[in-house]
Amino acid sequence: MTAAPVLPPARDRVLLVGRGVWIEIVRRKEFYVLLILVALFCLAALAVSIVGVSNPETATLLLNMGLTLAAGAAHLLTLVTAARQIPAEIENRTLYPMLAKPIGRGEFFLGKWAAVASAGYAVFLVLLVLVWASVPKMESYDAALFVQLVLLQGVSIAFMAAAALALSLWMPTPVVLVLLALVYAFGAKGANLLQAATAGGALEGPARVLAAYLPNFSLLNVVTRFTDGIGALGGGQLLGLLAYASVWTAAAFFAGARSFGKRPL
Amino acid sequence: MAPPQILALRAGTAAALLSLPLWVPSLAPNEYDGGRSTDIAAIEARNTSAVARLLGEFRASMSDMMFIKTEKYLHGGISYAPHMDLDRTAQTGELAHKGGKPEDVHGPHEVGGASGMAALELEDEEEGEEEEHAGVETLIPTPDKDFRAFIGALHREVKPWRDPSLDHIHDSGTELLPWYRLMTLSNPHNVRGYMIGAWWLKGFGTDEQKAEAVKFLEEGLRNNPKAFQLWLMMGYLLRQDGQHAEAMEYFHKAAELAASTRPADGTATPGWTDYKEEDARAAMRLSVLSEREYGDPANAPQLAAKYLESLGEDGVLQRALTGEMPGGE
Repeated sequence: MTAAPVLPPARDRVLLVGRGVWIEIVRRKEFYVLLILVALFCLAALAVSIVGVSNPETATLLLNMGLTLAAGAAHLLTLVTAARQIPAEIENRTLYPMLAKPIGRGEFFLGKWAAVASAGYAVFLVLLVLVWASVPKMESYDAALFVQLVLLQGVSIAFMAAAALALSLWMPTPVVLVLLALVYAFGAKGANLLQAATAGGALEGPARVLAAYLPNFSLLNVVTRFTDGIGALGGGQLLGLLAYASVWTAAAFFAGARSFGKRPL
Repeated sequence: MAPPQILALRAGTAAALLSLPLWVPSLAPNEYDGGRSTDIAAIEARNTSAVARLLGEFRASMSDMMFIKTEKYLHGGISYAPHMDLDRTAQTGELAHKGGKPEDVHGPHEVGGASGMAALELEDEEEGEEEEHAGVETLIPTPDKDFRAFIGALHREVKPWRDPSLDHIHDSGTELLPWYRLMTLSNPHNVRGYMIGAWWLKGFGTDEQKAEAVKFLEEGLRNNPKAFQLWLMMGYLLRQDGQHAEAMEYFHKAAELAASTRPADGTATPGWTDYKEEDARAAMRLSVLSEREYGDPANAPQLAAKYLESLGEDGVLQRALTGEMPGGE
């Protein structure tokens, strides 16, 4: 009687997939392009600090721009990385030897998502430290809100990773990139526009419902609230925002994993 | 077949996704009163820095960028360093400039003073009117300050430019309206955008545009039901249209909201500017005075007492309380 093969634990299998993604991110040029972009901003901010910032309001403006840049760059890297993960594996035929190993498709998808999301978040934290260290801080900011900002950016990046991975299974990579970049930058404005255009009419109710279903990354971005000197979010609001990001992330993840699991390869 | 835990998670996610319209509208982390990004003094300070000049119009949020655009349109396309007092313009409809003479601007907060219920009427802006303020720097520098020589001269020729020492030219404002529409579409919580846009619409004077102003404010109120200034402004518009009873209801609502949001001592903070304080007083005075004239006169002293409790002291309300009413009516 032949002994059944001993499979490595599921966690190790997911980590194996994730490790490949991390190596790829470090090797690809996008990471360095974004790093250089933020480094240029930081150099400029440092130069301004040395010359002397004329007033606290300008320092706050620089901080707002730096934090916005760090958040945007991390989301962009996450999007670019996630959108090409599975299509590139299929195109380069590297997916097949990977799936020939004792790795399920669900574990493969989970490994990809976890690695892209964690790498995107790590990049955000690195950029955040660079920005924070280089920009002068001359006004008061709420420390608790800062923690919330960092936390909310984490769930926002996780959502971006899941959405890009899922959409990349159904549409070409460039379309995914443009679509999600537009949703990230203008999703909230699109929802506002929709509601304003239908206000007072018969379509007001349906538009309000539809607007709630448009993913809204700006809900998860409290950078301006932070630099405006406003206090931390209440517990209910914070939990609601975490739930909002979790629901979207889970929906995108399950839809993508299911589609990937049923896809003929 | 997926394990039961995964199936349960999927079902839970689907249910939560379906319920989004029920709870997502209550999530509003970026809706708050005040803040440095909208504080006029902070904007002015930022605009004086070389960094802000280098950044040009990217120095503000999308909707504030549009405010910068409106200044440019108002001055016939000539880019001056931002100098409009937007809070004052939102409050009175007057084109107010920072550093202008206070006596040149008459705001609704003066209502209820010596002139009783006589309200500020927005003067229609005439096409190409020359305003008496000058000396505000243009973004394209003057020849004596421009190191670019020929390139600078070319820049001044091909772009709208006017010697900053000359009086400014103000356009009619027709071109500004789409910007206020875009501003409020881009950010439905831009209360100042709704107020200035409504002033401009009303200022054109036709019935159709007055109705549009009311409609614009109604939209503002739907999106910002707690913004007492919008209730106050709607009251003004209705009263100027002779709808005194309806206006009174709006003044009451504005006064109630103002009393509930005003800090105890009324001192200026990032969330409570001097303009808000003036508007809050105007709302409370108008609530009392309109109750006396168009509602139940016996109620007016009670209302006055209630609002005096909030304001601490106010000459107009004191007189309303003692029956010695202001105004020569």
